[in-house]
Amino acid sequence: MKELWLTPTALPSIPVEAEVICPDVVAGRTLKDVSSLEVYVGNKTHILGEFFEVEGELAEQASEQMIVVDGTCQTVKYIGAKMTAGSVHVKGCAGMHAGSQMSGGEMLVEGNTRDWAGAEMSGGLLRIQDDSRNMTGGAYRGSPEGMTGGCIVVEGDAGVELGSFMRRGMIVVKGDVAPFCGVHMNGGEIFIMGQAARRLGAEAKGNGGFIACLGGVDEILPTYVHETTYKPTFMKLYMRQLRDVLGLEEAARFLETPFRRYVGDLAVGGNCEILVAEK
Amino acid sequence: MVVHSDVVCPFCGCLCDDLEVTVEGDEIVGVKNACAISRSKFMNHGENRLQEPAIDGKKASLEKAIEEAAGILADAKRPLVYGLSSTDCGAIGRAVELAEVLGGVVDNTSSVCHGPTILALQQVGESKTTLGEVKNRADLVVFWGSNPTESHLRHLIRYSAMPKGMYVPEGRKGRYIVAVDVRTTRMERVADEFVKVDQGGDFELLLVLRAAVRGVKIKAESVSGVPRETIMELVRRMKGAKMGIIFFGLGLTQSDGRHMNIDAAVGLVTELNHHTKFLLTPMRGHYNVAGANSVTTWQTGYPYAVDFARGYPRYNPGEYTSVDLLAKEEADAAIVIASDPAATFPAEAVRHLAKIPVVTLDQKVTPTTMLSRVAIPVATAGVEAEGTAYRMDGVALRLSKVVEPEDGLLSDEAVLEAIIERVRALKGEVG
Amino acid sequence: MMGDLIVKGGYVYDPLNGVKGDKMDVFLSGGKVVEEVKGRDAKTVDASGKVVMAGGVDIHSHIAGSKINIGRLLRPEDHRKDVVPRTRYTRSGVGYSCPSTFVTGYRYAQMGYTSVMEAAMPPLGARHVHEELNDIPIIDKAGFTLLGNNHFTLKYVKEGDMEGLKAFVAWMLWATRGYAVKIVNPGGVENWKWGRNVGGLDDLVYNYEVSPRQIVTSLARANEELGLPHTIHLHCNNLGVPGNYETTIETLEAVKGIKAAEGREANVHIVHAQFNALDGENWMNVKSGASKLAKYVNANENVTLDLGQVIFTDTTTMTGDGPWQFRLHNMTGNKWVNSDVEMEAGAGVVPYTFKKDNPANAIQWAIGLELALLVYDPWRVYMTTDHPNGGPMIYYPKVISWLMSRKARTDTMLELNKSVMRRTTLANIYREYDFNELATVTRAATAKALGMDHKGHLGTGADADVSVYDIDPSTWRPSMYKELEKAFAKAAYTIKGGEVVVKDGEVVATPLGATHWVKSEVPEALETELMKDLEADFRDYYTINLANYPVEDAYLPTGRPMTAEGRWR
Repeated sequence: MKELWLTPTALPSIPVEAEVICPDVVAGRTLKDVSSLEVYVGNKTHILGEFFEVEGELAEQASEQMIVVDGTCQTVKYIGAKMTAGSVHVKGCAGMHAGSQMSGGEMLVEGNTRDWAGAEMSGGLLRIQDDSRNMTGGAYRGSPEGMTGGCIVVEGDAGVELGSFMRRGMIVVKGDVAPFCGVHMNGGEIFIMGQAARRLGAEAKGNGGFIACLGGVDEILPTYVHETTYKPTFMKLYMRQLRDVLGLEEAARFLETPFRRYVGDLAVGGNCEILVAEK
Repeated sequence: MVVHSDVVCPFCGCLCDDLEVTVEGDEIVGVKNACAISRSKFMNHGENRLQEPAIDGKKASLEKAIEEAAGILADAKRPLVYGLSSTDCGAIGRAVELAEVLGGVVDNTSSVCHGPTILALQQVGESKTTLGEVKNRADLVVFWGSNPTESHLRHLIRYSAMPKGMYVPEGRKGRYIVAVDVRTTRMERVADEFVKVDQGGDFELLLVLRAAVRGVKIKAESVSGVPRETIMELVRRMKGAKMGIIFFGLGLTQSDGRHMNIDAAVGLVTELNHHTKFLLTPMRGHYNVAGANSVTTWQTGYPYAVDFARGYPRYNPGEYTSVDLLAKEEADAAIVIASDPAATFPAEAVRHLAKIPVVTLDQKVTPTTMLSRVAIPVATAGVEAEGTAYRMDGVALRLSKVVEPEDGLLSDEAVLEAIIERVRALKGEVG
Repeated sequence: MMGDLIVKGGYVYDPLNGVKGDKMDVFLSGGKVVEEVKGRDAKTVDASGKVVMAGGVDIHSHIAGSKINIGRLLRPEDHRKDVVPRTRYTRSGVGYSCPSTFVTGYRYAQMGYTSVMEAAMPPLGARHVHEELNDIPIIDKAGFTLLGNNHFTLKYVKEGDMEGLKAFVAWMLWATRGYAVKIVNPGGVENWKWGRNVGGLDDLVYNYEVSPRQIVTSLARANEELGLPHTIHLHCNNLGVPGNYETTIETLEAVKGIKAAEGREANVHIVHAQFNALDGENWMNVKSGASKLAKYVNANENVTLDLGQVIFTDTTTMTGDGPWQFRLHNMTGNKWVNSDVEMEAGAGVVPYTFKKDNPANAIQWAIGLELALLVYDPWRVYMTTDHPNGGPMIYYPKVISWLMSRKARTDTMLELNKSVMRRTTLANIYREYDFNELATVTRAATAKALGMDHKGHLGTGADADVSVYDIDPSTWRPSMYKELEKAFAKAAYTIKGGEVVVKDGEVVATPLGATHWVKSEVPEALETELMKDLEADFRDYYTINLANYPVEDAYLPTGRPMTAEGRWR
């Protein structure tokens, strides 16, 4: 992998829209070209070089390209959005829409992300080492499909409506999640290792999807019914995967845990499963 | 003395169109058929008026004020155009155009009232009607998180509770009225049944109702403080109604759950349509907030929170909504039309509003005009200027002009037009 | 005043005047087509090697008013895939299935269309429709007033009061500034107010005890006796129900004997016939009923129809047929908006994706084309997609290619579910439209059906609406359908009212077109009776006063009334 280094210099208070910070856009260009890629600040057009020092090496193919953003960029929107391959590593925080609609490659954010991180993602891996805000892995307004593939790992806490309208893919949160996790969920898997706030799985149709709560739940919706308590084999496989593939060591603690299984949301005739680890 | 009849009332979303306004010379001396709020607004429309255009609190000519306003907006990188729910559609269209020319954001007050209703609609739809269907057919009327006895005074009389309709010839007696709220309101006396729900528990109750309509057996003894028997009785009534409707207000849109509350209410109503006819309608507050959504939608595709920074409209409440733009200190200038955000927005948003240059078009002196760099007085739509407004159910009506505005006072639309023209000139777009 | 214009040297197709691809000049002056332009100031548009036609006239589309605006509101996810930036001449907006108003005008003009009919205007929403029409630039427009489920219509039909019905229709066209009588699922929409529908022509409407048959025939008779320029514009009962071609034919039989107004043979127009020409018992064994309907239409000159052609894409369905939209919501699980209008009408909006691998969708696609090709007379079958129901209007060039090229049809058919081969006759149809027939089904015939004498042709006195397409008919062959598609997507020139509004496919001017409506005098005595009736029922049942009901002149800055002479008893 060839590394392109972008070091933020003076970021303005109005957010910078920089969907150009994406392996697909920079690959095959020269440093000078990359430096003059267009970014947007309010109604004005600027170039990337005005806000970032651009150094390092550029690859021919996106898949060979790594972008390192060396600093915090809370007001930079769309970093890694729509990427299909390669990797993006933000050594700080990232602004709204980080990794949104990405379909491949890997993105790592060391700090936190704002709303809509990984929204409508269809492939690849997005890893956020601190908190993520609302609508992580969610659907944009009006869309009947949120995340349709790929994997999001949030090592801190996550905001409301995590994985809304999720169809496929996987989201893992090491910390706590706010209400309406998996709302309108219609497939996919969500793992919550911290505390899950109420209203999770609201209006979820299910379609093979489930939400696994490993660290406790504030409240289960009255439109979910408790069916059984059991030790699902597939959960063991998932836990191994979380540990071995995603490096989440805590998962190992749940290899033998029994789970209470709730099914709903009956308000929509759904068969989504909420699996709550027995303490 | 002139009596204007069939006057449309420009104050709340009911848009009652049967007012009789008596004018002597240039003064309104009487208003018939109006509710107390409407009457006082008509009678006192001359009070506390913004006297003259001002820049930094100092009197200025209209030309100077427009010049200054255009300069502020044309220089801005992230200008915000906000308000619009208490003016006519002509002005709203111009405000959208201004935002487009500026490359700014246009937003209206639904951003802080029924925005969640719209988000829910975009997720799951809605089943709605014009108010006459309620008058003519509804035998079950539910008010959820809304109290028309304080917010929409003639709603109960004209549309929803009292009127005799085609298939409800008995009027009030032909309808069963349910009020659902977290605290006792005057609706308790109006309604046949008052259901008190725990604060923040509307969503669960709506879901359970929907599940019960689907035939799911409810095991919980009570949900959100409402006993199972009450829930089942309500479901029986809903399914058995010839035609039912839910009117909901800010008690549902602005409480815990927000757009998901509406989503659940829509779901309940949709489910009920498998058994009988059921509808729902939001109780819109400002008289033309429905028009603000409507015009913005036909011109841009989106109802509020529309960003033109890229030259084409983009939409994202939570990102381009006024409170967010201000609280995140993103907006660097604002023009406010017919609204008072300084009095109604959260503190952190108002703090930023006070820091940036603001242009305000209003009839009256308000906290917002007081913090504005430029304040321009305008004629009152529906009293001193004609125009169009949309009722809460989307019916468009013609606002009338019953008195002449003071000399030199222009409508919102005319002032916005002049500002657009100046902005274009400043941007070198003329000709 | 606009300068004179000469459209020079193109292959002109003007079927109304018998011009079939002759190389000739078209002269425009004062907003009209003229015999010749004198003086040296005339500007020239070079049309050599290109096709010249009158501006396109869309007889059935959904472009303005509460229904399309609900569609816009409902579908932010649809807008973001098709954004339109502002330019020096044009406003910004969004496109695809629910385009914003400005973009609607631009896109029609870019395809060479200069007149478009909004096919469903609920009377109480007429003011809203006109507000939006005034924000649609360039094209001429008109709204069709929904009357098939109106309280007064049902009341007069029940009472058998034909003169009352006629007076009411005439008054309504004035009050709403409407152009034609639109009927949607007669009786069914009123029953939907109770959550029900009608299942056939002789079902009864609750409380009124009248049947769809009575409603349709009464309105058709009223329409013809009023001498309205267009026939009734009819969305039949049982739309979207397999086997419904029978209902459609039964409806046509019912109106057959009604004497048409002077100057035309037709007394009924069936809209988006594709949705009403299904055979079979259910969606599993559905097949095309197009050949049966076409056979009927070929034998009966009182019928015209438009296609409602299906396009394979994600679109937004919207109709005044509330119960059908609820059905569609239940079939798809997609989000659903219902919108009832007191005393008058209703509507529903549901997003829908026509898929190539879906057998029913493949059959529906074929039905539209079968109708276009099996009805022999192009003067009686018109090209539409029922925008955006069958698909967004931006796909018109694709429909044109299917009509004019069997290869285009075959290439598409090969991608479809095999049911299209077995359950339709499309594969066996060899007919290909020529440019003359195309000009007929897209402008000449539609204008004629609408009774717009000044539209759809290039004879002296016609409106100076002209489109020029960059395709050379002398060398074009049906195998070159992709070029055809390209040429019709972006007109080389569109001229509206004598002004060049589109050049090389780009909008260069945005005048506001006219809004057409029909004025029909009602005898004084009848009008007095009518007003008494209206006043009473408005007071009792409406939520607005009668005085605030009619659309004010302020909403018609470019109104263009046409007078109809009625026959009264």
